[in-house]
Amino acid sequence: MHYRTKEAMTGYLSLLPAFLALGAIVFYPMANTIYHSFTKWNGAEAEWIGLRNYAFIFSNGELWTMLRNNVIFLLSIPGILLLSLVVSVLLFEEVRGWRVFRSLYYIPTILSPVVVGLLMKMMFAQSGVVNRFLHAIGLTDGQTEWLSRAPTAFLVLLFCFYWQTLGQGALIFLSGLSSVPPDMYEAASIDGAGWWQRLLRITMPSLVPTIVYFTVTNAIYCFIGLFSLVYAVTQGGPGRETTPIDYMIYIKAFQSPGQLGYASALSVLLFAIVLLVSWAQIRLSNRFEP
Amino acid sequence: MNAMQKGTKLLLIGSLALLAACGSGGGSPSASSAAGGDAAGTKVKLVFWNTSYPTIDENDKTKKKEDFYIYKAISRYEAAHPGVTIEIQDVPDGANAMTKFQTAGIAGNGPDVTNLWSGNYTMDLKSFIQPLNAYLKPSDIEAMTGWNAVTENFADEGTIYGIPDGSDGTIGILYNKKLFAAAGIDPVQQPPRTYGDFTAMLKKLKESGVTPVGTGEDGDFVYFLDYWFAQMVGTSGINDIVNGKMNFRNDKLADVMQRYLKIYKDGYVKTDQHETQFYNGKVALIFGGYNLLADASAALGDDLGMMKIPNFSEAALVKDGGIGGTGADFVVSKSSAHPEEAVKFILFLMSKEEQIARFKDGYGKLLNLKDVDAAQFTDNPLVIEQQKWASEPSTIFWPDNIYPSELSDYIGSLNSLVIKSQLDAGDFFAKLDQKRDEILAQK
Repeated sequence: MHYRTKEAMTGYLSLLPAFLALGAIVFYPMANTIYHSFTKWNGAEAEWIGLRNYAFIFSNGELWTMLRNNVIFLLSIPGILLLSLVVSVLLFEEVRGWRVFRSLYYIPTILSPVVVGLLMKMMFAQSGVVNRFLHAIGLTDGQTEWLSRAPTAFLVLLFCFYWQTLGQGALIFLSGLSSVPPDMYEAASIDGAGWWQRLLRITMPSLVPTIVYFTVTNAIYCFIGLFSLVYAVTQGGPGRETTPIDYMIYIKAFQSPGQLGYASALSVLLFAIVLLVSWAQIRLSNRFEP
Repeated sequence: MNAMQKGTKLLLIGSLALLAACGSGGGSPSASSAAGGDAAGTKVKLVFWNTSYPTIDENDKTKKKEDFYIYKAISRYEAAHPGVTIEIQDVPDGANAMTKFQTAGIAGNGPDVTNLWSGNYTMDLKSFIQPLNAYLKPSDIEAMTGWNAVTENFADEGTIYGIPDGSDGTIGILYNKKLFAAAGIDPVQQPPRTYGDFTAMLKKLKESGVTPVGTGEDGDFVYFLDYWFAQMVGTSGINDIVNGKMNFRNDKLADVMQRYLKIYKDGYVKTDQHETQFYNGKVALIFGGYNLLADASAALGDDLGMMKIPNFSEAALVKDGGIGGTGADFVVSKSSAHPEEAVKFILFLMSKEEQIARFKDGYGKLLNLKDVDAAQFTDNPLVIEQQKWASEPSTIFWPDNIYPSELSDYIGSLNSLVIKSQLDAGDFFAKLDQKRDEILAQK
């Protein structure tokens, strides 16, 4: 065998285990889900029903509520982006106590969403510490039912999302800031640039790839990662008012017997939405590349 | 063969072994365990997913597993059946048990035996459940009540998918005698019979400075509102609603809903940690049955009282009853390699001696035996009353076990919006009808 052929064969064979594993744990389930999205499937028997699952999804009105819920989280990303940026810049500038704050900000990130959820549920209960505090300082009557009303339930969920994401965001932006060459700052200082000018003209443009990464990963999270938080805090309620698509997939697949086909169709739809949103974000962010 | 070729072959073999290992996890626990038996095949291991028997004492974490009833029962069974071992595995209960059982059923590695909610909760999973008719003798069926809840279409005869697990008794009102007395109410002498009596009683309680009612966040749909629904349309009406022959949106249920919501609008109800508030004497009454008696008695002692939920109106089709019955069952999964042994084990747990033993142990279910009276084993008048109520024909089988499980979940989640005035009652019914129609269309 020719040396080049042997080398190519070895290369392909070396990749084979990874491809087999990917095929088994990614591509096969994907293909299986796409196939079953056209069936009525209870886990044991599947019957081909064509596009009926998709027709139900678009006609029963639930999709728009779920999409609205996902979009609310999506629209909250600039807020946590800004917050993470501010915290990371402060940590980078080594403000007083930065070592303590660096650890403090990161702690919520390592907590399980279920732990965070239970904690928040207790804090925001009608007789919880938040109501007692607000009542003590005279802001409310202390009877706010945070999780029983959609707007306040969303506030609690967004608070959890921000609280958990801040540490991760600050860490990502800190690493981005560390990669900016210090001589750029020195040169700018020598040229008379002030703190704000350095921030806006050097730091921010240098952080664009990091911002893109943070935004894209969190946008994806807002579609596929909310399950554990929603499950632990509101269980999609009140009603279905805080149910995002991934939680509905769970409800349909595992709490509505015989609806696995419908859940598969929802999963395929979610996949398409995430693909579209990510593609749009990356296309958009290319315009801001330095 | 050079080293590179050897390495490549090893990699290939390794990856195939890895995939094979991934794929081999789905074997039936019983099948694999049974393989460990002796040559004659007489050794059997049954896996029991326990969703209901207590195995942890919240007040005494030092209590050994062997001291709990179910472990003692298993020891007795194993001693009486040499060669059979029962492996008990604690799994979450309620809807989570359904989820776990379903996923295990799809993977083909379900347990031999587990507990599920009865009625449509069980029927919805029948693809993964072993029909049991072939393993049951007429005398087994004759000895117990609650078979409709585990038989297809709730029929008297048909395919049986489970064995009824005791009785939940009848949901009534648990009240704090001291708070009632302070408000000048004596429900024993003058029990509230109608909606009017009930709201007058709540008014008095509120005027005495106490929150009259505590309910869950979902407005105790299953315990309370469902009863008034079922009273007005009857069990056949509930079946008609499920089958699409009648709508939720009808005059009778609209009237019930309007008056039910008035109780909330008039500020009689608190939905924040209602059981704890009741036990702490901050709420005068909650809706509950036998399952809450132990905790409520421990908290309130002799101040705990119990009465039936008042009839919604004189026009009610079923009067002086409540919701209840056999809300759970034991099932054998289709993955079981030993269904006959599994049924024997369940019948042992449901035998007269064992039901009495677990009842005496304080388990949260009443007896569902035809020839046994709870009064023989307890002095607690409330428990005796519960057992009496449970056998009355006016006890209506859990409507939420008659609705498709998805609809039950939907009702509960939407009702939490209705009681907070975030969803109009008419829209609530319209949404329920739409969901029911969708479920029927997808069948």
